[in-house]
Amino acid sequence: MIDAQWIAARRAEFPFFTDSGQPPPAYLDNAATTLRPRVVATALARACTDLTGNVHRATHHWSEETTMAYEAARAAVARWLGAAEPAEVLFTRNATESLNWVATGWGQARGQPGARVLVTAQEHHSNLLPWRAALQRCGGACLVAGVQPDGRVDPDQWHAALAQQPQVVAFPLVSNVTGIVNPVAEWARAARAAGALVVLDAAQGLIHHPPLALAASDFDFVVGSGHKLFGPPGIGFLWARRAHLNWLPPPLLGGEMVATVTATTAQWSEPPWRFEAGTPNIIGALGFAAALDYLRGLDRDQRTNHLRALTQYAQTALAAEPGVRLVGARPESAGILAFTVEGIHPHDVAQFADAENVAIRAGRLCAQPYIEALGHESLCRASFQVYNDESDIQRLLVGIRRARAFFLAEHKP
Amino acid sequence: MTRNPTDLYHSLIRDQACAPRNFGPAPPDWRVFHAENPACGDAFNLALDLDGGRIRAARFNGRGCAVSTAAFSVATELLTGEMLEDWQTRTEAIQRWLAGLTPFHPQWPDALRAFEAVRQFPSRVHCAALPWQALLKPQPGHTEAPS
Ligand SMILES: Cc1ncc(COP(=O)(O)O)c(C=O)c1O
Repeated sequence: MIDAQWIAARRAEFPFFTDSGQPPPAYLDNAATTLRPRVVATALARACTDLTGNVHRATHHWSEETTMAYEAARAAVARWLGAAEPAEVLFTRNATESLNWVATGWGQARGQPGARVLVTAQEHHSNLLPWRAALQRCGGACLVAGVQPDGRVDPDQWHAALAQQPQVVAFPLVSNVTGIVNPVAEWARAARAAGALVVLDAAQGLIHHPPLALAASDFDFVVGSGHKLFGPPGIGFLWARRAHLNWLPPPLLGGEMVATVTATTAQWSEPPWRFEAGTPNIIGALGFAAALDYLRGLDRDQRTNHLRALTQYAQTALAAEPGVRLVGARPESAGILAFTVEGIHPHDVAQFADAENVAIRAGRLCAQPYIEALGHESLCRASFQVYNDESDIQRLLVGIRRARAFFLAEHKP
Repeated sequence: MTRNPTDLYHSLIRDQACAPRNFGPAPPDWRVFHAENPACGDAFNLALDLDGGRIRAARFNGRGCAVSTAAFSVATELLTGEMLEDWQTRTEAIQRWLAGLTPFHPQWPDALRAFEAVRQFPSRVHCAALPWQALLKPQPGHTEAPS
């Protein structure tokens, strides 16, 4: 059900809407980055004004306070993920950096000639290129499970590739192109049973997903970005099972990550600090924790129902619109809808949407192989959040109609 | 801030995008130049029939948005009869103008002015710049549409 009152209450929590005119802008690019609620803005400002001193450095009380706040943020992320302990959560810049740390570190520590990594044809470039590079360096091979015409990963191909005993199996929780939700728990179980390390790219869809309860899961590494979870940009996480943090090499060397340094040797500090060389994004971490607080405060069922109802509304409305074709739309899609407008390039569609104050994404969506597998060169993508309603979709339709009128009306061949 | 997309799609751009000039495959002995826009998935080949350094004819092939399609279409018209080198030395200046960094050069043909409004749409600057980037990227061999 789409509950107008509930949405109005959400909009009131986001400065983006209170500071904008009427009608409110239709922000439908949530898969790229979500808006930030006021509580996050406030937490960020407070971190700037109230915290002084670096983390894990000085003995003065300001530094200690900063350290405690930063470590409390780590603990909050760990709790939210259901990690066994905060030390399993490493702060990174974003999901991309997290994936690079895992892929590069795995390649350095465990990559061998003939090693295999299984990914899917659905991958965002961030969960593809680091693996390819690591495999190239160690002389291994990347196995890619293809997709079916409906956009889902072909289960036969995936299981056949798993039978080739890859050392690592990596996949996305949700496709950032089609919003398709993958059977990640089932895949993780199968991959773990096959003896592989399981890497989950949870950058997309984590915001909609039930708690991951990582401690009891079959995952080995999970990555995400704060800016897709109502948090600020520049902060992300890499969750790794504690045992893996003992062999994963630190990606950066320098201050903070060492216990002792002699003229010729160095001994790394314990995880997670071993992985956080240099001064971290303290303010971002606090903003991220505030965002998770906000997220937790929203009723999950209400969020899920809202998202499902709005996605279905959008699917139905766009499918009925002349010239519009949905791509990979499924009933369970997680708040993402890819489409094309016949005869008009996605960029030009997005430009006309922008003129209606509607934000959508257009292009290859950082997933070129997937988009090509679906038979396209580029796509339009609308993605939804708690502050979106039917009128946003209607405004998108106005933009699409204006684009069609402009490009197609007088120029019909 | 709401910008009117019809400013961006100057009548010449719409016209050239909807009915591009010199569009389609070129004979195999023409010189091919290539450019793409990785974010949007635009990819074009520009093929020139060269007589020494002079461009006898120009064609283009590929797919992209209205702005990049029109940019190639206009470029093929501008380049015909011109010296390749003259335009290759101009490409950087044209791109700087599109990016809003420098004023329009009085010696450039007026048709380029159709892209003036692109300067207000930073995310579309690279679409209009594509043919000029291509001119510096000769390809070994073929003239088919880029994949
Ligand atoms: C599935 C997926 N993986 C990885 C990323 C990369 O996230 P970030 O840009 O925050 O590093 C994204 C972002 O769009 C994504 O959707």
